[in-house]
Amino acid sequence: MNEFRLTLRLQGKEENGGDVLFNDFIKQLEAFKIILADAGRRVSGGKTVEFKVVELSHNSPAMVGVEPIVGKGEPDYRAAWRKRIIDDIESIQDRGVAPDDMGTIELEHVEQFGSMVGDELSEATILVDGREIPVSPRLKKNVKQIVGEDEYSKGSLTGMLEAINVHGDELAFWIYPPTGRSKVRCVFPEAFKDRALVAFEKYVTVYGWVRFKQRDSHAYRIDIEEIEIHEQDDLPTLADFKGIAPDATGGIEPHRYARAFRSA
Amino acid sequence: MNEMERLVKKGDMVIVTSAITIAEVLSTNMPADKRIDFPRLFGRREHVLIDVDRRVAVHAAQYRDHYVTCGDQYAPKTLDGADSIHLATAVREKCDAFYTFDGIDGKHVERRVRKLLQLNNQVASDSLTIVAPSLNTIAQPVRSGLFKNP
Repeated sequence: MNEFRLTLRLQGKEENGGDVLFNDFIKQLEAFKIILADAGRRVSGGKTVEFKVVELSHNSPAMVGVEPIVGKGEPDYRAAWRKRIIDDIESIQDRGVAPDDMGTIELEHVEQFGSMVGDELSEATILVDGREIPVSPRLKKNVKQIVGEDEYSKGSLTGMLEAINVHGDELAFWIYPPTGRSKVRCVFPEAFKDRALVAFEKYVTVYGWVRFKQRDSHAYRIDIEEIEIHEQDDLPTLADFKGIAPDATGGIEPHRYARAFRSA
Repeated sequence: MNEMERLVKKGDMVIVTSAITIAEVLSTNMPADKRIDFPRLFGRREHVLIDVDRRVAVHAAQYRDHYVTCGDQYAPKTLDGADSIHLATAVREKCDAFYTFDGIDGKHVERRVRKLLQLNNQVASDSLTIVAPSLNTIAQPVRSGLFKNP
């Protein structure tokens, strides 16, 4: 028994003698790693947690055991981390309920983790202190239900355009809003490629179909229809508007004017 | 306002406002050239215009519903539609403070609607600092270094 260890046991398809295909093994471990790291961040108040492999065997079936690394003088989140992972998986898989602090992106990682079970893998099981938590296809199904269908609206977003990708199936860049919101992935058609490259590392407003996940407060993606670049040196400043229209409200105090305007 | 300008210029403050501000400001007797310039102000990094998207609209509607039914001495008087959008915008963008003169006369309601300064600290179940702009109220709530990490 190891107090902080979490082991993943994988069984491949019968047609492969129960062995896991290397590619599937890597994919499943990648999804597992992201879940571990997400839970680490949530129990440690946003810190990046590193892990070490403490068990590795292919003794039919394959098993990988990991443990978080705690730095000298750092708070020890290991017990909370392990409990969180088990609680989260069980809550989503058995009851169809996601924890409040788990965002859509984290949930999609859980979905990814559950997606190969029943297809590429005949079994995926998490082992904790002799307890076995089998991952079932219900995990993926429940995540899909919790996340729900995307909501759409036409809209815009302003921020720094960064991290452009002009290769692959989907051309995309990221917008980083200045108010501290999460970055938003913006997907654009080939026709916008030159415009997007010109706008790289500039402050822009993008317009298009804005997509929301039902559980999230803000958009996660925009399908771009227009990119407006804001060359900062060409723009007016707040000072340019100072005192320019002393009679703008017809002698009424601005807040009274606004109140009257809103009530009109 | 000078202190606010200084903080904005230094990059220590971002002014966030709802897109409906444009409609409200352009309804004044502003000179023609400034009417064109005003929306362009929001291309600056330190002046952030937020769309009234479906989330903001639903949040605003919830505020209005809340005050109709909250059962306090002013109910069923509620928030003006535009006020509710401004408040929802500020809360959703996690603004440190919401600046307004509305209610500086100390009144809680006027005709059909509630005034905003009296909602300081609590808008329905959300927490939001609502203050009148002055030199004393600006220094506290700002977040510094907003532009440092894209």
